[in-house]
Amino acid sequence: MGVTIALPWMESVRVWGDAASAAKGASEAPVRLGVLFAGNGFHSKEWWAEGDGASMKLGKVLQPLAPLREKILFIRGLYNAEAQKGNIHSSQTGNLLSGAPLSAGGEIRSGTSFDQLLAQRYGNSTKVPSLVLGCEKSNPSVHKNYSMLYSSHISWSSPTTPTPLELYPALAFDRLFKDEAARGDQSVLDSVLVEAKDFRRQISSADQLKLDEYLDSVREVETRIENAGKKGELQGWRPSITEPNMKRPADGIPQDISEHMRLMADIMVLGFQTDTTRVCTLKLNNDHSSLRFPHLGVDYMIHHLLSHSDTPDWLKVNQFFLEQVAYIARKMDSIQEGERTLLDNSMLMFCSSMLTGSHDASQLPVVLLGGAGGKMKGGRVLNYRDKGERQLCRLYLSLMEKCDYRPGKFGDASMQLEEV
Amino acid sequence: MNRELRNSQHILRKFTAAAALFCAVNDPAAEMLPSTPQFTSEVRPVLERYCFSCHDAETKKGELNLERFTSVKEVWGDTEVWQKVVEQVSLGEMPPMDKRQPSAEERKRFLESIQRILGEVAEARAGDPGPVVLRRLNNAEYTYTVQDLAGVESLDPAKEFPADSAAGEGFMNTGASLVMSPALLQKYLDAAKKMAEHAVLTPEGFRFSEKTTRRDWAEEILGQIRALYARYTTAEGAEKVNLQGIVFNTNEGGRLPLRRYLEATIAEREKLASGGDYFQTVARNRGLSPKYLRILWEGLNSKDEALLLGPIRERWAKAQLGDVDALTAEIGKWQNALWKFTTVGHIGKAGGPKAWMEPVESITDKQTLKLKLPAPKNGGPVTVFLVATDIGDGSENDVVVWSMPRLVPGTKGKTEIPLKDSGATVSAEFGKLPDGTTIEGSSLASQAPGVIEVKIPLESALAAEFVVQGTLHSEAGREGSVQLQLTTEKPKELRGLAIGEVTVKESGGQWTSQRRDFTHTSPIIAQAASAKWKRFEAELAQMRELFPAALCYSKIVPVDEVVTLTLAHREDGHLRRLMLDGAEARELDRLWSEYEFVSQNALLLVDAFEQLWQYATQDADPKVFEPMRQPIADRAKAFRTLMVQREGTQVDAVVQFAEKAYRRPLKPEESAELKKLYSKLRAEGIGHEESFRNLLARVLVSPSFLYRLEEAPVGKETAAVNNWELATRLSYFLWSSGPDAELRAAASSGTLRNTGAIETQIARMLVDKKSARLAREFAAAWLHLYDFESLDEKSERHFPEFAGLKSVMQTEVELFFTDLFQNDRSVLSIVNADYTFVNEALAKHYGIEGVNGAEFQRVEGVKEHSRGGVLGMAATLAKQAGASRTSPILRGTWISEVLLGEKLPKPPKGVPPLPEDAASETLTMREIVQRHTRDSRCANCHSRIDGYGFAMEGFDAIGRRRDSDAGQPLLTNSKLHDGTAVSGFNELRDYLAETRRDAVVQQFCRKLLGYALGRGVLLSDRPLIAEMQRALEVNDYRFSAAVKTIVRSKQFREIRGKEAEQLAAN
Repeated sequence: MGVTIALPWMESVRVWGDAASAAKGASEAPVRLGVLFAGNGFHSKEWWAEGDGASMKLGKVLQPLAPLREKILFIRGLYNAEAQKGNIHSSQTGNLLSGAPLSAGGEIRSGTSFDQLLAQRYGNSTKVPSLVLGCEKSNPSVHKNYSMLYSSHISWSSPTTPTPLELYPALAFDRLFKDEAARGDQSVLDSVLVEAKDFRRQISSADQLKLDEYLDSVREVETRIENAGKKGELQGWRPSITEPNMKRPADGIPQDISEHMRLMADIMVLGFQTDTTRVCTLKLNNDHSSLRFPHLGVDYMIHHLLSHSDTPDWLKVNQFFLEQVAYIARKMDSIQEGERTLLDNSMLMFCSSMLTGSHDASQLPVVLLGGAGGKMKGGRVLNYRDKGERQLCRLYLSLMEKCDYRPGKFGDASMQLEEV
Repeated sequence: MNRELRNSQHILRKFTAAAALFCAVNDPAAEMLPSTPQFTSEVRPVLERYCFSCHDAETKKGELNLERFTSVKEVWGDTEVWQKVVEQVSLGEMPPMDKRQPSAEERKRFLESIQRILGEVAEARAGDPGPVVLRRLNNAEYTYTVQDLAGVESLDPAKEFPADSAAGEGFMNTGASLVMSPALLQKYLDAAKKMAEHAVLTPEGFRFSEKTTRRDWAEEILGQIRALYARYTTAEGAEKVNLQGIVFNTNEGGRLPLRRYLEATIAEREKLASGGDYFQTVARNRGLSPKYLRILWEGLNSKDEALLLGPIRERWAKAQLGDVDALTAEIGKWQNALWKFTTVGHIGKAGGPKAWMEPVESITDKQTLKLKLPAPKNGGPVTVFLVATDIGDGSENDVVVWSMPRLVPGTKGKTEIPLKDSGATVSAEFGKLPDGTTIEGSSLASQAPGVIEVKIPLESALAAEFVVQGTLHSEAGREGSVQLQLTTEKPKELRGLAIGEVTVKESGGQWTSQRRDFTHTSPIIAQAASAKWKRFEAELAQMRELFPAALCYSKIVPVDEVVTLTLAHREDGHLRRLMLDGAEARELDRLWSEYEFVSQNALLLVDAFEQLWQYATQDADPKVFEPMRQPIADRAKAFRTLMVQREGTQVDAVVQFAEKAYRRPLKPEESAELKKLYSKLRAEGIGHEESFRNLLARVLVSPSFLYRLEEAPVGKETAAVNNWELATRLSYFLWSSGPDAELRAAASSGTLRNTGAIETQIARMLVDKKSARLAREFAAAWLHLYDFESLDEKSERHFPEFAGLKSVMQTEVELFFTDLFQNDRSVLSIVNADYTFVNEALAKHYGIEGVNGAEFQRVEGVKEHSRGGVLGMAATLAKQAGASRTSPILRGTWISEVLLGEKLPKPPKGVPPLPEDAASETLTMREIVQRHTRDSRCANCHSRIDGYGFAMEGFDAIGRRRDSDAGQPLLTNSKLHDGTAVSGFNELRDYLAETRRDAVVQQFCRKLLGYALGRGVLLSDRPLIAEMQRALEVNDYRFSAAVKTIVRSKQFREIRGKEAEQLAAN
């Protein structure tokens, strides 16, 4: 490509990605990471789990997961220290997956989230390094001196680049399965790179960082064009299907939120099943969410305001979200990949940026499903509430380790959670 | 910066702190610190007493170490901390309630001292352009820019892009929040390619169209051509006129609207005759062509001898307005007699027509006359008159020979009978001229004016046709001119000219022989080489030129013809000659050449001809089409050459377009790069058109287009942005789009730098309809009403009508601000206007009567209805409310934070969930809120907001007036945080507009500045905000005063140096 700009992460991606695929056992299914998020926490009395294996008891919010209890790893007591330093909502959310300090005021800065870090290190052997999906449009304002983009973005490609969410099911589907390369694209992109490179010299270094987002993006699109059609050449392991087994969703955003979530869930599972991507983050709604749920008979209050009281309707809405998690998990568990199911080969993490609607983030709700290719054991409850080193980032170190990535330090943590 | 550093927040934080310190040390102003010992005497002792127990170097609670500040100089080094200190102490958040509290006096003096120091810092650093992060065009800006560049408003390329986020002062034009990702870049690339599909390649370069197919583009151009045709051919109403079997829809154009011109010459006779040049004004006032008005006037006033036009001139000279119709009809007869219409599809074939409208042969040297004899009455003979009329030019030479008069029987088998042998009685002698000269024996002769009476006996006349050929006698009639007629009624008048008419005989049969034969009933008879012939020919031509039956073939595409080899037919010579001025004629020619180019008809015709040929050979001899073959082939060849010739022009046009898209001139290497790409694509085997579109897409996905790149000066010093960057800043500020031609011209000439010129631009831009974008992107975003119409937060069960109203609610907000900007109204009206904009639906919602229809109108006196200003707008009231109930907390917070710019304390930790009665339907909202705020931990915050919210309870959750809640009477009286008691909306609105005027205006200025600069407002902006406030005050708060102050400021006109920008915000 003839570009010699120092690119913050792309350079290392290529090298590492290739090395990883070479080192990987040829017949072993890859570990997939799915992160699911719901905003505004849960019913303060019904988010709990006790006991082991088949005898595990679950709070009402978690009831939809009951059939899967032996594949559940319920974790209590982890927290994100940086999220407690700002104000409420957006400043509790934008760093959920990075543990990084958040900038207030005019600056936008968090940290590279662990899902994106993994995408950059691990995702390059698939067509799409990661899929970042959402079911609720972001709010274009600033709340309590923190940009609301923190409320709608938990995935960050770099400390200053929140990864844009795809809200359109059809476009998410296209991103996985459409071959974009057209005649001339490559030359067009080469040419804009020349221009960008030229410009990069004339602007301040702060602006250079911003322009690098553009350069990195152009280069990744170019790489994808180069790799178009090379799919499947690298590994011995084959996904159970290589072509989508659902039709392209209709254009536009579905009116009905449950349909929207369902489509996004299907696309996520399909991305994993076809091994088109191994990392997917799905934000079922935003923190400070304005969703309503007429189909549950709860249309008199938006999600955010519902979260302020422990009403039966709030519980009902919580369960609706857990049903989505259960749907994804069940679907993944029904897909056989050799001896294990897709769920067994994956790690699904469901989380929120506060435990309850009163902005309580002294501990964060986390539940994991799946077996990480035999590296994670389900049917357990772990409680770190009264332990010293209870950083949420320790969990991320553990999850990354299961994808053979060991950065040593991440966010405010430098040790994995041994029990995970 | 390497990746490790970027990723490591700890290192970065240290770096930022160090940079801030570095900034202070190198700040020239910091070298001249004020001598006042405020810090050591007023601040430090208070810190020691009340703050250090937590915020000392060792404890650093909340990562705050105040102990490190030992002098003013250090305060200058980290003003951000001190702004926080002021905020926390003024809000009463610090020191915490359970800690030792300073006295009110101590607190006051402490705050004043810090404020004074901060004020000094602000003054010293005033004008700092600040750190403005490189901005991608946000979705709205990108869309507007593309629409403006293309001149096509329907383009919506960012429809499926991820929504933008806000930062800084809460707007979506801050670089920090405008990110890029591979997925988004792919969308930009796709969007650029899609837009390139809208490019229409023309001989001059290209333009954009709403459409993306060649067929639609060609149709678009035809539409423009037809519109130009219709400008001078639209006559009175959509009247259908049948001319020789061709139906004209006068509304579609084509016909000469003669009546209106005649009317003008008569109605304005004196004016036009006065000698002054009134043709322009008269024509303009009447929607006529000045050119034809003059031509007609001159034709009617000429003193030249004219036998044909003469009688018309005479009638016109005497005509009053009431005679216009008759005069028009008279000329209409001429038009009808002088012109014939053919089928366009057969032009060019052997024996085919030459044009759509052709002259009728109205002068001839011999005429065959035929007359079907009527049934004889009462067994008597049938009388026929052979009439020879003098045309009015004297009759001396008008000697007519009626050759071979005969009776042709109607029934088959019978032979024709020469008149001579029919037993008829004839009033003239066979074989003799009137002067006795012998002619052929069976012929008759007469001198015009003259009539020969022929009485045909019953047996010869029955069902027969009388046929005779009329000529002038070769010698006696050499310089004669007559008109002949066969009639059964004796004519009364034998002088003067009969206009006659054209009859058409359609011969059916196969498509190849499809024919229309035209016959003139009363041609002028003259001898071919005579002077008379020449004279009449010239006069007929004059009539045709002055009164063409049609001005142009407005149909253009002969869709109604069975077989056609004409894809589009241009015949507009008369229009061009009589009606169009130079510019119009050039435009018409340009459109036609563009049409020929875009439609590629020249190429399509080659195939069409082949198809026709194949089709024709099936059932007839197609050789009549043979003459067309070569011209079609030649035309196609020439067209191909033209297309190749134009390739360079089109590529150059993209390079020129890039200058508009990049909002600056291109550097030579940039033009070269674009051309290089084009060549490279061609070398890859991609054709011209596809390469062209790729090239265009490349411009639209380039960083120079997608980002507002500004060149930073080398070093630490700030410097003025260049003219183009200034024009771009101004244009995106007021229009959310790139500079238009006028602004580009001002940038190019450098006049933009001068105050008068830039203020002229500001005034022009605010009046422009594009300022509606400022209403949307700035005002609506500031008030949290951006995209309000997509809000889906209301319960359909409680408010089924909301879905139908939300877009009109948003329109009100946008119209209100667009009006404010365009008419330069007072910014105080934002809270205090006594007018608003409503349509019927919204007026009903507000209980305002007398507004009908879907159109919005300005309504005065809305305060009477408890409205006025943004606070009383349904959009605000609905947005700051729950799905089914109101929310005094949301509304109060909105007033406090958004309208007044107040800071609110952070919600306390460990607040229990609200009691379940938040969902109660029996408690009033006020009661629910009051239960919540009974908790003392909540009171500090709620005492600041609830008062505002309670006063607004007179509006329900979708902004309707109400007087009860949950079945109980409404209470709208409340006590505000400053102790003021207000009751209801009107009092609250007046309180905000009067008591809190400064806060409202300051907040407005802060937000407008943040929007204009695309960043959060800094300490160093305080003097500018104060200046804006002063400028508003002395200018009756007119909006433009604030805009001008911003545009004059260093912040707006300068950029930080490359190295300075690495430093943190001050």
